[in-house]
Amino acid sequence: MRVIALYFKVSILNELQYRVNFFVQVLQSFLSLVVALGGLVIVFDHTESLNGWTSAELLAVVGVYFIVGGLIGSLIQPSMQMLMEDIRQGTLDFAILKPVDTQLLVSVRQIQLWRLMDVGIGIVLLVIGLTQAGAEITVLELLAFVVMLIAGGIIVYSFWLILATIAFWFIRIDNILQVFQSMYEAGRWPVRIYPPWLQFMLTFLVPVAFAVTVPVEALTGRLTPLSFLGAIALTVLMFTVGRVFWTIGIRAYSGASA
Amino acid sequence: MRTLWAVYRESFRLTVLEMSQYRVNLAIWILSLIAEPIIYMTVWTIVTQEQGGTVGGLTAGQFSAYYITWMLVRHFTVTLAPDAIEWRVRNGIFSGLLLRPLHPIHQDVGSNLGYKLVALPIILAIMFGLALVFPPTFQLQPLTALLFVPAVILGYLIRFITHWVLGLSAFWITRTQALFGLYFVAEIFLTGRFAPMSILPDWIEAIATVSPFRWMIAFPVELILGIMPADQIPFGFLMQALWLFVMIGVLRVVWAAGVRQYTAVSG
Repeated sequence: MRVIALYFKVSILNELQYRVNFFVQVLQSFLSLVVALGGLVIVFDHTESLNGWTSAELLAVVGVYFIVGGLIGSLIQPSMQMLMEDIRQGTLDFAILKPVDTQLLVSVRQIQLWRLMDVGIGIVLLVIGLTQAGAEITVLELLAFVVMLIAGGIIVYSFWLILATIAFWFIRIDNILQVFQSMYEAGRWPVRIYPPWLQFMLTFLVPVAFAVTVPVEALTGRLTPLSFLGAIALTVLMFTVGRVFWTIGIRAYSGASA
Repeated sequence: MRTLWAVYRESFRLTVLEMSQYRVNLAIWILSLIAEPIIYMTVWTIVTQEQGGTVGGLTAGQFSAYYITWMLVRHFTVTLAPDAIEWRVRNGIFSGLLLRPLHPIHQDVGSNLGYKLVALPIILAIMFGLALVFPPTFQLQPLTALLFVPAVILGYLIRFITHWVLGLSAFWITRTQALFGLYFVAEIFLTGRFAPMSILPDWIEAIATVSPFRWMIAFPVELILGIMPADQIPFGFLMQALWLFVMIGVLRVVWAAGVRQYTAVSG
């Protein structure tokens, strides 16, 4: 825990040095907001509901999409990209040499502070969406939402770890990032609207469903106990697989020096 | 003219060879391209169902035909990203290119065509697969099918030159990402990427019509699908010619001024 706190502090101090990045992020967040809301406006110009989802509920989906995207972009992705780069260049030696668990270390080494802005935007959208939808949220639903959000976060983290670990064998996988981002875009809409084969991909290949749709379902009274338990089971499974992958992968690693 | 042809041929051949080496990379990259049309196709298919068959005069089958064709046209009009040009400016890559007797833009066209050829079978396979999942309704006319070819070529050239101009802005601006970001948002709504023009609110359609965006991708798609009324087709080609002309002019000015501005480390 102390290690995590320390690394966060260093990253934050580091980011605070570069103020201009803040404004760049403001613009980028604003642009992705325009794309997301523009899409909603155009679609709901022609219809009142999309597969049973109202525009207010879809606004909530976009909110969670921003929250989760912000969390991934600020906390998970930077460290994982650094990891892939280190594996490619053979500079992972420095991390392995340190006397803490290497998986923990490589997972918290870097954060992008300003990306957290998306989380703020997401919360605002979520609240507006839920108020407009007139949703009455029970404590239980709120709790389920938070649990599902955390579960989704762990699933996405494990997913990234597995991908990054693949770099131990196949050195060049920078394209993976692009694939993840374009698949994640699908999360702007509830995953249930897609054809079954795509739903399957978005649930198990790229875990967009559990990251975005399932948490929203918890808030809009759509979550079944089955998918709740399924999400928990998948979280445990993905985390274990990630850990196993990592352990095997790090053995395949050979440094650049010495 | 013969040297120009040789440059095109060689850069074309080089790219074909290079790309066939990184096959996995290519496959992954193309996979990432299909997500977007599928998303929009699904959304609009559902909207047509909710509205009892048609939205803005288009049926689900027509939407499907639209996005499948859109994928093909997008593939033909894929060009070097502005970031790639910017990268050359920043890293002094242009130093070497400038020493050559020919404008570096020609080499890009050649290698671009190489990319299109190598990736085309994959795109066609994906289009075929999508057609099975979302059955499209095509009504092809021989004349518009013929006009489709020059429309795509013009669209490609407009897009290609626009990206070059954007990339060259790195000669003066340091934070180009902001500019590119704005450009890409405009592209989503104005090139018919999110929805066909007739579905968009009137004011967006009006902006798209006067901007170069509509003429890059949306125009060829609407042309071949017969969505565009026949009497507007000459206007479309006129706009394409106009924007191509304007963009070439801008490129010339920006390029001349940029090269004067350009300084590189090392000699």
